[in-house]
Amino acid sequence: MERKDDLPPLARRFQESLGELAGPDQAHFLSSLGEAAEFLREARAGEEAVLWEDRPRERPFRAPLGVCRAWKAAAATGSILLLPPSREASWASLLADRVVALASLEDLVADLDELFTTLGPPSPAALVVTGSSRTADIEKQLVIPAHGPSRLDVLFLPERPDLARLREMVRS
Amino acid sequence: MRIALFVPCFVNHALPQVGRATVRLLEALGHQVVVPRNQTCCGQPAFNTGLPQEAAAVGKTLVERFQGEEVIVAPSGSCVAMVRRELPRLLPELAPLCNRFRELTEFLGKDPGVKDFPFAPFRGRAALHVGCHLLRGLGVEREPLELLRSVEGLQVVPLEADRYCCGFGGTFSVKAPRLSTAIGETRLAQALRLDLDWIVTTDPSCMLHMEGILARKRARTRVLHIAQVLAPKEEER
Amino acid sequence: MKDEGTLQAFEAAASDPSLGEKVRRAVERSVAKMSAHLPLGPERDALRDKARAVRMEALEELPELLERFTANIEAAGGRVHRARNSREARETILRILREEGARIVVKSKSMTTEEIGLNPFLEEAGLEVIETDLGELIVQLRGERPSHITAPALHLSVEDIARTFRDELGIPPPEGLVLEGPPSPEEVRMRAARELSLAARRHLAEKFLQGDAAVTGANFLLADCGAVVIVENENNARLCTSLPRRQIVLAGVEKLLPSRAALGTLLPLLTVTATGQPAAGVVNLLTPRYTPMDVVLLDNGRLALREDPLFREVLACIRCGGCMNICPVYRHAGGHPYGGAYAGPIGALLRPLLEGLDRAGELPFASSLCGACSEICPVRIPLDRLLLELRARARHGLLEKAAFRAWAFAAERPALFRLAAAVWRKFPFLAALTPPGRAWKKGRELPRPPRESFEAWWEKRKDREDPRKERDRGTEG
Repeated sequence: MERKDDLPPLARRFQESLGELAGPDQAHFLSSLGEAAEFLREARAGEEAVLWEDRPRERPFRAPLGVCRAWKAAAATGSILLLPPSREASWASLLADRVVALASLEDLVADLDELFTTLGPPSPAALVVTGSSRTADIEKQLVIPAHGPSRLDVLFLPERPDLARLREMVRS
Repeated sequence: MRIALFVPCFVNHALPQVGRATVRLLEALGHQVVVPRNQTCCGQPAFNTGLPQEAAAVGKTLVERFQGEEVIVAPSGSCVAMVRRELPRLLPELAPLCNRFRELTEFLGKDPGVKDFPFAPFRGRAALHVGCHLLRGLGVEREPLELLRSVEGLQVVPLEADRYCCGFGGTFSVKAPRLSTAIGETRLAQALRLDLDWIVTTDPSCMLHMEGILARKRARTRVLHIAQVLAPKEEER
Repeated sequence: MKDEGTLQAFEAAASDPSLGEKVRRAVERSVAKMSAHLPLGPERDALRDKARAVRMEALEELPELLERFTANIEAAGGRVHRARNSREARETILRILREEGARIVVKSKSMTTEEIGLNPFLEEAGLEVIETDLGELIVQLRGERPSHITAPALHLSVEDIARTFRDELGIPPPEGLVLEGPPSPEEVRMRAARELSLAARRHLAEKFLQGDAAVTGANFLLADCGAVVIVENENNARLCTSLPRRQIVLAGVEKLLPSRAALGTLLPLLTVTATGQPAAGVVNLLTPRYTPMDVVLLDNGRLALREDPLFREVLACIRCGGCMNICPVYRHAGGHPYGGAYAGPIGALLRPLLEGLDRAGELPFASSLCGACSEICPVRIPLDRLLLELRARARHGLLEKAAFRAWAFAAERPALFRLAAAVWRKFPFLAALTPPGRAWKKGRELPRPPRESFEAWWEKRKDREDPRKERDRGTEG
């Protein structure tokens, strides 16, 4: 894949931050939508039931994989911004065991301060997500997952990705 | 210079050796020590209990003994914190005088005579306990450690609980005695595991409390005031 | 728990060394992680100054923020209810749930619902209330109060929790974990913690889908965009707000902020101080356009407290729990002796200030005033100084007042003070008989009186040096 030292500094920082969460979450830096489609095919997106954020289901459905858009990312903490247009759309990043979020390097900012000061009004919701679900409520032992996803992969593309187009490529 | 010694009530009546050590130390550094008579108490016990009127009346009596003195030093962070941080609000007309009080290590930290001073060697492994009133109340953190580090033969051992309260807390020590003791035992636990020779402290009240706990445990480790470590040895009489 | 809120309760808790050990083990991890990411020092202080400014300004503008928030929530199709006290809040929430026809209520962690005593009230009204935060679930099963505001089950060991899951949920204890007697090896215990957490995940998975309505708290309320902010790691709040038909948010009025921009300052400090995390798992900013939403804003003494110039800054608290993590009293007694929803230094202030000193007047005295809390507080509330001030407002017993009057009488008269000290030196056993003396001896030896006082030594020394100085005796000894 990509070598750490080839990455621009913010990207490298994002990757490190996600790594510091001590979970299975990872950031990947790809050069095309095609590579993203390849990634998803390897994650069995073509075969198994997948939740796509832009094609929400009517009823809650737990799936092995969910795909969503990350509209911003913050390097200092490894956080991404989700803007689900509805509750049903949010299930793609919530009821899936493994979540793949598509982001663009253009939307990578330095830290949470920058993320929140440039954030538009949440409509209907804005979620700042850092890694998969976790708990340390029992003797402060970190356990992943808690009630939500157990793994998050953030795919960074040079330009803003189109989920519909990506879905076509995965299925073809 | 001329230094007026403020003798806290604990020192005067329970730990006079701390006062004597302070005098020896300041005189060895070339200062002239005077001790105003009839010092009683800074008023902290009452203030700590939420009785500021009584505290102010008592504090006033104490502070007025120092009228006309420029440099006032005490071997106790909690008493100096009381005088400098609390009394000025309660006794505004005495505020300038109150502001001249200094804790011993705070004073020594600014005393040019301390640099290169030939402190007598003092052997042993010790932990340093800086009282909370001195550490957080007066912001004095560096000076006590630096002073101890200039003493030949003394190994200052850093402990995990070093910035942690000893549990004395004034009237808290007798209002919640088991809690107070438990906190002290936690503070001292690692020192005991490491079998240190000394706990060196800046505050007489912490000293009484920790010494009391160690004595109850029949520990070999004893508590000393920092003045006792820095001062030349007491002459036998 | 008996005697909650009294010094007795603290003494009883301190008498159980295993409780203190569990608490300290847990909070030490949070403090160590915090220090690794953002230790005490100038960098942290600069952030604290910013955070404090944001919170104090918000408190100042509270009435306008309240108006704007309400207008925005309503414009988005939500409803805002004002509850003057716990009773009104409970009844409002029950009314909304009944309107919704809700039978099963899922909850994400909310100390404010703890403050108003919501769960027993709803259960008595025939609803099933399911706590979905793991720590809250555990204490709910045990019929206990949460003991820490961000880590409710911090006072419990893996063995305690395994027993609870076995007894209340019929879940068999993890493989190899010894429940009674000497503990299992550390790696077995840590594996067990993981197994139990995953068992809770399985147990709750269905419940999220069964919930008719959700009751949540909020960390902050945003006035400019009409949004509630919920900070979490487990994703249980995400599930509570994305599946049931309706969301009811209960929050104290002091949670209002002018805008989301402030979150960039407040959130990193909140999470790093609470658990040592640079960022929380999820920060939810939710509006009524996302889910049908009722917001219940609780007063319960907050607005009156805002009028108190000395204590109003207590309302700036962002509920991080840092003061609990660092407090020597909390670390030895745990959270339960404080009674109520809030423990540690902030609890020792909030309970008397909101409920009245007559109900919780001993809490300010459950402190050694070490000041570590003020040092860690993200919004620079001088907690230890405020505890001291609150002591001055507390009612003092007649005996205590008399004792201090006598002490002050003596301390203003040096000859009398000297005499009293001399009596102690001569007859030390008298001290051992007094109530303070007896209390002291509970864990320590009393100091042995010295042969002579310092001032006596000083006088003698002066005489030895220059007997002629006798006639010069004035203020100088």
